[in-house]
Amino acid sequence: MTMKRKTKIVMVSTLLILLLLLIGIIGILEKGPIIIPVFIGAHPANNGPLGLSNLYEMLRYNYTVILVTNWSKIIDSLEECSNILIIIVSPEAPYKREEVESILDITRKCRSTSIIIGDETGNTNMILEAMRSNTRIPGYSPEGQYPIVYFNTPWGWSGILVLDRPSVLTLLSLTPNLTPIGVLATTTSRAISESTVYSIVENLGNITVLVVGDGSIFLNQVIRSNTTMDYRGFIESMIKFMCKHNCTILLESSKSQAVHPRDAFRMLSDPSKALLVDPISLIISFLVQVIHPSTWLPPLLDYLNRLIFNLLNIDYVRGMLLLISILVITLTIISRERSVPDEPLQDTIEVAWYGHASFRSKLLEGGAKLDKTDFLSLYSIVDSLLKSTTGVSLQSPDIVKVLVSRGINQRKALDYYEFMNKYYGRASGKSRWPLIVFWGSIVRKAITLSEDILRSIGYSLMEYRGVEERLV
Amino acid sequence: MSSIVLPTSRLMALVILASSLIALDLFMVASTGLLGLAIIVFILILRVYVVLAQTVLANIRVITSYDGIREGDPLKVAYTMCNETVVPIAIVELSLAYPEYLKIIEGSPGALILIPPRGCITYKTVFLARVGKHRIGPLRAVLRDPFGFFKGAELKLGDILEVSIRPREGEVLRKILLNIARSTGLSKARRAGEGSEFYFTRDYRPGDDLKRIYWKALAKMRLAVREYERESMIYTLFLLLIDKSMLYGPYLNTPLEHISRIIAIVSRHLAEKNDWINSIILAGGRLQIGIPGRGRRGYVNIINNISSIDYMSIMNDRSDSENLKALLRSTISTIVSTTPRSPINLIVIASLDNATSVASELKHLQYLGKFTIHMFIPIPHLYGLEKISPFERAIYRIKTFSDTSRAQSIVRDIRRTGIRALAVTPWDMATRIIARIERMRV
Amino acid sequence: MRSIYITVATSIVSAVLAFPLLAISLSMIAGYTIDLKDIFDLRNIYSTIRIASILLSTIFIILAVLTINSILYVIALISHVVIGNYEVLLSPIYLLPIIFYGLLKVLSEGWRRDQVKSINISISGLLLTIVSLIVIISSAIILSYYIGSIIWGYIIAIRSINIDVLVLRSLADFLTINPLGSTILVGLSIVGFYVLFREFTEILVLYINPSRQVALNALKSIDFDVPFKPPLSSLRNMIISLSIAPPFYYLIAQTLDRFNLMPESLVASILFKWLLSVLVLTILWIIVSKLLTRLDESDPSLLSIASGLILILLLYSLVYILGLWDPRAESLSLENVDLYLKRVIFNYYSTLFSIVELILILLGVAP
Repeated sequence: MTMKRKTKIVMVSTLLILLLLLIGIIGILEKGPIIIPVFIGAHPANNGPLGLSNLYEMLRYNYTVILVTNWSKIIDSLEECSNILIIIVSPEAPYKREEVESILDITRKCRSTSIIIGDETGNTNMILEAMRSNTRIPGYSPEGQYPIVYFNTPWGWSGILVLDRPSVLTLLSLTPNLTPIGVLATTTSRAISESTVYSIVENLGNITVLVVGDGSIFLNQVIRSNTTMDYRGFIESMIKFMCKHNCTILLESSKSQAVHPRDAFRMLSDPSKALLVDPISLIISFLVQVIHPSTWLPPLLDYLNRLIFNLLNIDYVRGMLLLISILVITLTIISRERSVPDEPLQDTIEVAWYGHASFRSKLLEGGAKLDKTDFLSLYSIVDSLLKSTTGVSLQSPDIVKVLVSRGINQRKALDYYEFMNKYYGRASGKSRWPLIVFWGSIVRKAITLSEDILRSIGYSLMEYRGVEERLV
Repeated sequence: MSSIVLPTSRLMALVILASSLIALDLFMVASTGLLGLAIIVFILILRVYVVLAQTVLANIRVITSYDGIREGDPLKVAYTMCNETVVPIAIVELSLAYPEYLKIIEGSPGALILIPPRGCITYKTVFLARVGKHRIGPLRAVLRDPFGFFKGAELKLGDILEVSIRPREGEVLRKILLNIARSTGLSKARRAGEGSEFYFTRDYRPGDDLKRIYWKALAKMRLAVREYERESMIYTLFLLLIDKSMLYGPYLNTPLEHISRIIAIVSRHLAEKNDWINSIILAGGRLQIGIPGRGRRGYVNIINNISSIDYMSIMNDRSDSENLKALLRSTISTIVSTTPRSPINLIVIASLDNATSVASELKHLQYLGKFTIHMFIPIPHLYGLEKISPFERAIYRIKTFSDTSRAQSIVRDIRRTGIRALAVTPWDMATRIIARIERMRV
Repeated sequence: MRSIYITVATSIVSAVLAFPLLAISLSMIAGYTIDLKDIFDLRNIYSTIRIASILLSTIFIILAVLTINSILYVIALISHVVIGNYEVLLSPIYLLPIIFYGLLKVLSEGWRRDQVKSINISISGLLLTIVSLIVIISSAIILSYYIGSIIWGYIIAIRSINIDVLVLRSLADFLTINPLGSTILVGLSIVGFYVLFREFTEILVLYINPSRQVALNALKSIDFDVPFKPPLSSLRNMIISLSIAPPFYYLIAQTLDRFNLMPESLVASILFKWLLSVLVLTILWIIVSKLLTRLDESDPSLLSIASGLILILLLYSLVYILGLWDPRAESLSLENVDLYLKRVIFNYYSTLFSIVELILILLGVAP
């Protein structure tokens, strides 16, 4: 029985999966590498001091956060729209009409909307206007750097925070719905100065707007800082207040400036701008380009092409390459076929069965060895035959006389008697003489001698009809 | 991956050639790509042919026949393969499956053939028939395309022939029998008397039963009566216990073949005397119990029983002496329950290895009174004496002397149980067995 | 018993067929003045390769003739090609043995000594067979030339394709102009054709001429207990690994935290968490695959038992290290169990999927 090869049936071959992967790579290749811009402003993807990544992490831990990169598409992706909190921090460009419309759409569509605006640029005024807010942000005023602002909030947090370069808010009219919550705190008194409001909460029907005239309190550098002032607590409590019942947070990330990684790299060397660039974003941005197949595959293939064409000019290498090519084609074809060694059919080998078959075939080849047990057998055969026909044993000296009477030469009979008994003594261990005996030749000689003797009494060892008739 | 046909390793050589031609083209050495590709397509087309031829070969019509039923005669086995389609089948390698102990005397055990479209081809081979039942066939067939690139899976064509061969009653044996019969003076065993078998007619004598008048003779104006053969009351039962040592020996001259020939001639002789005869054969761990019969019917039954001895089952028999004893016991009870009340001559032929256990089971039969048991034990190793030169024969005798002495002591032991046992040599077996049986009938 | 006449005849024919290549090899050897110093001189490495190839070729030819083996002959032929002796592939007289050695071998091995006496066939039948075989083979040759030229035309068309996209240009060049690249392209095309043609014709023939014995043979050649590898089983294993990974991840992270092995800085700890989650997933994936592949084959081995045990032991030991589970205590912890589990699972998946998201974004697959 041949061992059957243990095979595994594979329904989807690895080759197929590799082929699909290859097609995928070609697709990616054709699409070209993507360039991940490096955000240098207040953006959730910016890990630098001026980024919002910490805010994003903070929010994401407790709320569902959606990063808004395109306001016109966001309305479709909102599945349920009960409570929405929009957070806008220091947008770097003014809003367009369509964007404002989209934001208004959200406020109309959803049950309640809250907006947190941390802005010192005035780019959000369009939104405030559209919502009929009474607050405006005039923009950064150089004289008011690092003001100490006293916050007294409706949600119970109060304390002093230092702002960076805020814009004082302009309040168009003071309505009951509008509550200033952060005002300039003079060192001497805690009197509220109407003209220096930095933060308000305004209730506009189903919209609650919270404006802080400074986006910097949301930045990574502030949240990370270890000052005695509790910016983090302020922000957390603010968001908790503004986010009613399990809200979805829309975090503005469409208005921050992004630069090409190359430019970002240049900025890094400029000490004045170095702070803006987040090295991790930069590294990732570079890595993306490097690992993308379109970056390395075409040059690699070009290199291979050139290399092989150069190698082809060398005679012997060309031979080797040719050999490789031959092997590849052969193996791809052969691997689809299970080839077998071609053995001819084995015909029946005819045998004749024999007892003592191996000994008999050895005998026929002339390779039978004789030893002293064979001599003993022969002696016993002759002895029993003599005894049964003449009544005299081979051991008895009388046998000579008996043999002579059967027509054997006296001399021959005596010699036979002596020969047989001498070696019988040696073989049976009764005598130690002669010392060295070559049993092979002795037995052969004994056979020849015995045959003559046996024939005289009518038996034969060598004839087909032999001694057994008497023996059995 | 299907395996209707499989490529041989030679195909790889051709594929390498094709690949080289294609590679040369790709390396812009020579425009050989088309040639290389054509070779690969040729391989595929060749494969289609081989698959087609393989299915045709598998469905081919095979007529199986054999001729020869007697030992020593040529046993002709023929397989005629007829292709009814227009597809030529080439090249088919045939090899006949047959038992290893049979000998082909003409033709070959296999062949390389082409099967013509809408035509026939006959494969025949001749064995030297030997007694027993043999299974010959089917033809094993392997298809290859003419260049040996593809090879079909092995197919089996035709049926397995079950051939039963009868023993041959040679002239030598007949003479031995006649000599012995004449010397014992028993050739006139047939006597007219009461019976059922018609024997001859004689003239009417007063006192003859009217029912016995032969009316047809009256037409010739002769009053005659029918004389019926006297019913013989002698029942001879042959019990053959065959083991593998009975199969040892030269072709046509194994103990089994000797014995079957002797039983055949003896039973014919007994049948002529209208004795009851029957045979029970224990071979390959299986009992073949014959049907008792008289005259020709009894003889035919015995011959049939002998010619259904299956060699392979004997060679593959693994049953031990306990098994043998159990079978023997059931045999004995069969014998006792089915035989008539007349005296029974039980002729047992057992191998040397089985003899002792057979005797120990059979000895109880003697006490029943009606059984006379004779046991013949062939000495298997003596069958190896043939076809050896004289001096080697002497060495063989000396080397196997222990077996001879063993036979001697086994026979002596059996005789002590009261069974008349005899060890028989190849050359005196016939004389001894026939003499014993003849004497027994006295 | 094989016929001695046939053996001798086939040996002579095989020698005659191989003679041209042998002659060319011997003449090339004779053309060399062999100087041992030259052979072992590294500067003459090319001539050493050359002479070695020819010697090898000669040896293989002789072996091929003696054993009537076409594979050995092809090796001899290819060793000529390697040293640039291409004409051996271009002239048919060198290629005959590849085709006819098979016939010779079938004859020498299959022809029995007395088979003529055993076979009875009419001369007309024999002639008809031989003629029809010749017709079949020659029409196969013509047909294969035509089919071959169609496919070759297709291959040439593929190779002459012109691609405008710049980034794909080098790939296209690699596959069409570069011999090695086009080897892959051509090889795959041929294999595709080969497999399709073979399966199609085989099914067709079996449909036209169904045969019980052939079908049985084909069925029997397949193991009955052959295991199937379910399609996309690696994906399945990945899903299972994903479902059991969170507890492992959490426990390992907790353990590291307990022994103060977590990195201090924020970015580093994020990267470390990413690494850890991927690592946990990979290891679990390997273990689960081992476990399930064996189960698929319903052949549980020591390996699968071991991988199962490793899973259990790992879980147990981690839980123990953390002291989360005291075998004597009743409750798991003081925290609400469902919230606790939710947090564990959420943590892990948010870490893991942020990586997946990132990779996809980086490759430009997702925006």
